[in-house]
Amino acid sequence: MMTSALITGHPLGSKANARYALLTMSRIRKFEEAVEDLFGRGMVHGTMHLSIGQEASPTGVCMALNITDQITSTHRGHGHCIAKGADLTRMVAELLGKEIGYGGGRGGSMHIADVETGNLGANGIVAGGIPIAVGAALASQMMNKGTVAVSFFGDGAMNEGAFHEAANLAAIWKLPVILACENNKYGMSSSIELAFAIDHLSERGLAYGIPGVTLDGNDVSAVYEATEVAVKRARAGEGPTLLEFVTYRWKGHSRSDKNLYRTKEEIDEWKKKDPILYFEHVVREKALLTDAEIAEIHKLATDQVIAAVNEAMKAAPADPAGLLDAVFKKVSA
Amino acid sequence: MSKFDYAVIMPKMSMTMEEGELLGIRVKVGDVVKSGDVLFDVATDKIDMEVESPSDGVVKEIIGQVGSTMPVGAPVLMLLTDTQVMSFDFNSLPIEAIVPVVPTPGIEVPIVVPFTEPVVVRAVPKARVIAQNRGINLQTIAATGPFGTITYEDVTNSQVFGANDARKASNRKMVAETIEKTRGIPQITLSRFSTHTTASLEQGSAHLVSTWARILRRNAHFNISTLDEKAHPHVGIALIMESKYGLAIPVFKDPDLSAGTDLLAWIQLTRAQALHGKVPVEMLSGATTSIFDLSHTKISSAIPLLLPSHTTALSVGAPQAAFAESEICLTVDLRYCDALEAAQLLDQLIDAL
Amino acid sequence: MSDRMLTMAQALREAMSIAMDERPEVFILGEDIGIYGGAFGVTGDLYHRYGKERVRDTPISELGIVGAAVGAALSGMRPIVEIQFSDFTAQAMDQIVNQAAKIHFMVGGGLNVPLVLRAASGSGTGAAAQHSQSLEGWFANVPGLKVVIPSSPYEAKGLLLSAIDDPNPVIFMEHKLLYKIPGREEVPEGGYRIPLGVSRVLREGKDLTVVATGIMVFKAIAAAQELEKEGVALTVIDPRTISPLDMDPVYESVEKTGRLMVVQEAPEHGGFLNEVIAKVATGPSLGSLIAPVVRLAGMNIPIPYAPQLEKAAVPQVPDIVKAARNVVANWR
Repeated sequence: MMTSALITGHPLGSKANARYALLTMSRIRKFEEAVEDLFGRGMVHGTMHLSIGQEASPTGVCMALNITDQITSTHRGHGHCIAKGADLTRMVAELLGKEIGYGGGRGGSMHIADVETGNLGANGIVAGGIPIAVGAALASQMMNKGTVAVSFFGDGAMNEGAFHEAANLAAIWKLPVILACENNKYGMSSSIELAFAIDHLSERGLAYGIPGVTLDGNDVSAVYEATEVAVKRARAGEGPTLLEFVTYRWKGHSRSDKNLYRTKEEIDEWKKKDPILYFEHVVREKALLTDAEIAEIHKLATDQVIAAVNEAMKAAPADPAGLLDAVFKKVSA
Repeated sequence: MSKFDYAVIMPKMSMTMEEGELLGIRVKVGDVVKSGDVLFDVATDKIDMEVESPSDGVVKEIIGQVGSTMPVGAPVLMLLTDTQVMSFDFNSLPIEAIVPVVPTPGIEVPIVVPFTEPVVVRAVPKARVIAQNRGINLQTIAATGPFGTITYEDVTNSQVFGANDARKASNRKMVAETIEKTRGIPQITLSRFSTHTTASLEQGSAHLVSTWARILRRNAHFNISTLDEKAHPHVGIALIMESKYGLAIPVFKDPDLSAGTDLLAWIQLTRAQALHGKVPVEMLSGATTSIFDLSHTKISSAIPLLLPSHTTALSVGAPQAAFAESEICLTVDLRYCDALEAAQLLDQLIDAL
Repeated sequence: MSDRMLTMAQALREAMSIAMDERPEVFILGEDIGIYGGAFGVTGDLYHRYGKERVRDTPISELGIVGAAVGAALSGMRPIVEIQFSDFTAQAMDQIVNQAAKIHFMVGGGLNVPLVLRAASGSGTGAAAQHSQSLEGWFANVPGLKVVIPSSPYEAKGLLLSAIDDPNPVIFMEHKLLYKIPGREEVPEGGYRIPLGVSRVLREGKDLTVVATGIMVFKAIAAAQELEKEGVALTVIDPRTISPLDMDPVYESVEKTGRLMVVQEAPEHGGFLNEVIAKVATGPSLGSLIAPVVRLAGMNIPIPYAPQLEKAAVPQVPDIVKAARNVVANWR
């Protein structure tokens, strides 16, 4: 069921689109490296979950969406946020607990949402965002908005009741929702072999009458193409699609992970399937981008992330004075 | 190829980690390393961890001492890396660029009435409050309530004379003797209804006090001391209020000259001080008139009593809900003005209110 | 009897109908609320009047439907979820507690969840331990949720309309015995609102302040009427919403009566009305108390099945009468 990139005639076959895809993946990679460094220096409170190695799925999915389309994300959500168009400075600021951060320092890494780009938020609860995306799709259907909702979730979420209840509702009501499973092979330390008795997680779609597809989640072109098909189905009122993107996280689950449950060889093997290097290889082969252009794109992403970190560092820390007023939205008269 | 300087630091690896022990260094200066190669081992309070190279490169310098404990963020070794590694050393930032977190005061906790009696005395809260106000030692009260508890009625029905009761009695006597002196003065009391608008007792008092002072300043012949028959340079308003020891009569000098909010705060503070039996000494003299404000009660009006040397006295009754009006009474010393002038004065006051 | 002496079920239905007429974004979803008309008949004929889209039958899937309601509320709709028995909120707890309640706060105010979750609550129908609980205290302990407990048809209609208007998630706990009892006052026609967070003083008496919620308001008034004959005068206060909680009328009343009693159906241990006692103990009216506070609540047991056991498990009118009489007689 693995598909491969069909770059010729593909939407990513244009120079501009290829450039955008590479820039987005690079921005995610550089952002994750930057916040990892800040965490290592004790400047980020709490913990965080890095998506290095998984940059292709958020990039490919979000390129197939409009800004008015909505997403729900996960604890490993920096990539979804960036791919949907969030401001890097406000993201770093949130991790540093600053007033200008997306949540004003009240949410941190696991709770960044961005109304302007249709991001309904990352989520600290595994599978927590799936029913919410289904509800967003219900609103789209009831209000004839023509928008699509995508729920990103990991392999672990597919064993939560919330996935099953949400998938069923999406199917019976033919909602414009895409269930985007990023199967990175481990739910914290439990491998999919321990947690599932099926070969492909996309098979679960069958149980609800939802088409399910398994793809190479490190091939941004394949992700994009599959998402486009699912978006078309959704907008045409044909209902939900389950997409399984097979990928791998290079880093531990969170910062205190010793990788006792997997081997160095396995990690090294997946590093060879780096989605960024793979896409660079493809665009070089197809002469879409030159080496100089590729280097320039990475430089741009690096500069943007450094600028964001420097600006966020200078911002004022979040102020406890406003906390009590932040719990409820004011009732307008 | 290797072109970027990069310091590999003692990394924070758990939510609580602040420092780590450098267990061993696996590379030496000049070694070529690949991304993911282990550079050194670290022990923390929770776990032992391997720290890997973030990029391909060459080891340039070893800084950390094996066996030493290093704070999070301290450089352990320097690499020359092939690609630029994200690294932010904010120790080089000017201090003022990093705004310190300002702690805000905690949420105010309502003040609980302090209990001063020994804990062995069982009493309901209201009995304690009354005993404290009257200066009664609860140990002198016989308990009739369940579990040997002193009840509200045990205190109110008891014949015990509290320490404050004595002060109250002598205070009462003093006020009565003072009033006695002005009894023979020819006087008249006039009254008129006034629309009630202000929100709280204090706001009402402040408004009345400042307006009355302004009217008296404008009509200086009512601001005369009967002792020397001269006009006072100041308007001093004695505001009669409740205190721990009976009535207190603090004097607000030239209240019309202070801003409305200041006066309100001044009156609120004085009222609180009076309840604790402590009025500032400079507020105990200098009155040229008095106000008896009953608007917090259900009393509709009271005839104001002249205090010695005053030519006027004012009282305010409680607003009568049905009419949204309260009655204001004015007493004047007829030796210094006639009744019609007094009527005009009261009209001026109420129109100004 | 006037034709406006509605039952609570009728009053709630009227409120939902008015809200759906006023706002196209209001819709109802839940189990058996369509053709069936709701397990307690609250939605009644709304399915026929507003159609299957806006009166939406769902599978038995509490977590899914509350989650879908959260997502719809985030995206411009105003869903009203009916949970057939409040006990089933346990199935949907993640979406209520971790999602709906916290989203507005966590994301810094950019999103909000205008969601109403109506649930049938309380004992007295013989439905036993998994269909009879009073769980309002759970939700009152979660910042970000408003919690409403209507005590009569009049309150139910005005409070539900305010809950639907509210831009935040509101848990609306309806006691199932109150559904069919006609109220003590007429329910006005039209869309009147009762603001959330304003307590109501239902009667004033000099001897004892009684704070009660839901069906216990009904019982406290019955007790007050009985005690009036013996010259014991009760003040009865219905907070109507326990989150936010309006304590001022309670403080004012305790200053006059010097005595406080709280009555709730939920188990005593950790129950919400303990919060009322704590606020009096730490608040301005403590010094007015002339008697220990009296607490009447459900026994610390699951609700039993047999009618005599079920009755014994929660406060009844004679319990309130007896406790009130004693506290007034013993503490003067």
